[in-house]
Amino acid sequence: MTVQYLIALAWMTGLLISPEALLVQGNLSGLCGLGFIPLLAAAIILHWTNVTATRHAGVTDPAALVEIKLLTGALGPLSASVLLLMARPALAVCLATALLVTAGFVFNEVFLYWFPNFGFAALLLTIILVLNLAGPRAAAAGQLLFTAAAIAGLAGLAVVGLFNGDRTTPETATALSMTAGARGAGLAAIGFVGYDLLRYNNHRFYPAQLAMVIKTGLVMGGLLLVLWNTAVLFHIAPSRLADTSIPHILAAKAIAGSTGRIIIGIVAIAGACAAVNYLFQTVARMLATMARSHLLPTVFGHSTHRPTRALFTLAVIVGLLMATGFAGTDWLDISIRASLVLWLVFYAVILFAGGRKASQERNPGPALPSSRVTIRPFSIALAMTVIAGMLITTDDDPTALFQAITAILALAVVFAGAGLFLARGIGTKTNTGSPHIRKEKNHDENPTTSDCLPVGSGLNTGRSGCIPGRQRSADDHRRT
Amino acid sequence: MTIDELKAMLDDPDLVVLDVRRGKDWKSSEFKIQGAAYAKPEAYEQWADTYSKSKTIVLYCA
Repeated sequence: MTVQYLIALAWMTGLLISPEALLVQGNLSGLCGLGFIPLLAAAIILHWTNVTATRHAGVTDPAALVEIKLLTGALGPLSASVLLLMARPALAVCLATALLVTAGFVFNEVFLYWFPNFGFAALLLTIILVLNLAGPRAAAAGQLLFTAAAIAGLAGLAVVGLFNGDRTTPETATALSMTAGARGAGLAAIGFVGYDLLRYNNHRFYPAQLAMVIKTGLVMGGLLLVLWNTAVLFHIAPSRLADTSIPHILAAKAIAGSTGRIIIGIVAIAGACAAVNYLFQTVARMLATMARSHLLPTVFGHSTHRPTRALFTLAVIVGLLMATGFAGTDWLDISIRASLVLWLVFYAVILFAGGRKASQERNPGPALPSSRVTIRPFSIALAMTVIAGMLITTDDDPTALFQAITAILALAVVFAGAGLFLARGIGTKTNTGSPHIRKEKNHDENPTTSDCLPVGSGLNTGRSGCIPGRQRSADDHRRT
Repeated sequence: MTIDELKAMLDDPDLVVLDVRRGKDWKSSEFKIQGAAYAKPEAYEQWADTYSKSKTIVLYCA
């Protein structure tokens, strides 16, 4: 089980150490100085509580289906599909494009100046696609390698930066303005977004185990970022960090010169691969699970264990975005920020749906929900919504961000509508409740979607979840 | 203009090199051509008239 935990942690930390995450952390440190520490701590507490609340609401369940079932039951199939498509796939394609292009530049400028950056980005995309197509084990092995390289490099540089080199005393942001504080809180919060996707590729955990893996990842990732950001502040002035788009590269150069530049080059490329691998693996499985729930055309749902068609779709979209020069426009960054804001909204909605379900199950009838289990999801949902609002209002270009959010929402509505139409057809009575997955003849290898039976009668029994192994195929037991 | 042609001209005082990269092309890059000045392509109207037309102006975007 230790290996399973390690693999799960490697998947989860993939997003935390990507070059885009390091950019967010650098800008956060630049904006708030050492004030980033309480903001990061607050963000970890927020997400920790989110994990606890969603688990109690029966959402953080290794059975990924529960999430889709909950949303479909609470909001109907169209709204559920829009919510699922608006943040995760949007971020997956936009962030993957940005990260691969960034890795291409890093390789070109740090390692081989004659190698075209676009060529390297395309090469990485191909490698990650092949890893994912080869199967979950190959993808997990790749993830372990990428994450280990990135964490080792970043931790090594952080230690050197903290204890050696020409350090200066970090500047404390004097009289942090309300706007800077709000912006900093928003940046700290989005730095951890994405852990919820873990349920789509770790099906051997009980709900409490999965929640613990996520919480461990949040704390360990948070500690690493605190070390790194502090080391960065020892060497680069906050004013410079707040403005630059390559704070990690500047910091690595200041900490360890040309060696630091090479190490951060490895960290950036490995971190980009880890994040893209995680997004591809989990989002492809989510799309396949949606197809199996009749929210998307069944063509995507042939397997949730090895969702080749969804993987190809994601890779083709990313390839097209790179080839058409989307990365060369400011809209890519704006779309990433918009997807992250929408993801916070997604957290809020799923907490709201879970809380409502919990209140209905615990307090049948018109009685107002008053238990801790029902109040907590609503409070965190409110906090997530407020942070999303703060991110919009404090953005460099709130109008453009709002336009991007609107465009992504519109696209999600179109894709969700078309997906439902193709999956269910006109005039077919839609099933807003439980999908017919468990009755499908084509049993998938992955118990995440097809072989788990929820414990208890409802989503909110306090120990709802799936019993791994129950109804598994003989093949699954052999693989276990 | 090829890379070699530009290289040969880099010390020319009548040469103006403008970096007009956008998005990730600009933000991910650590370097720019020696002596180049960054010019936001969206703000073309603001900086277009600030350079003498008698000079050789080279713009690069990737």
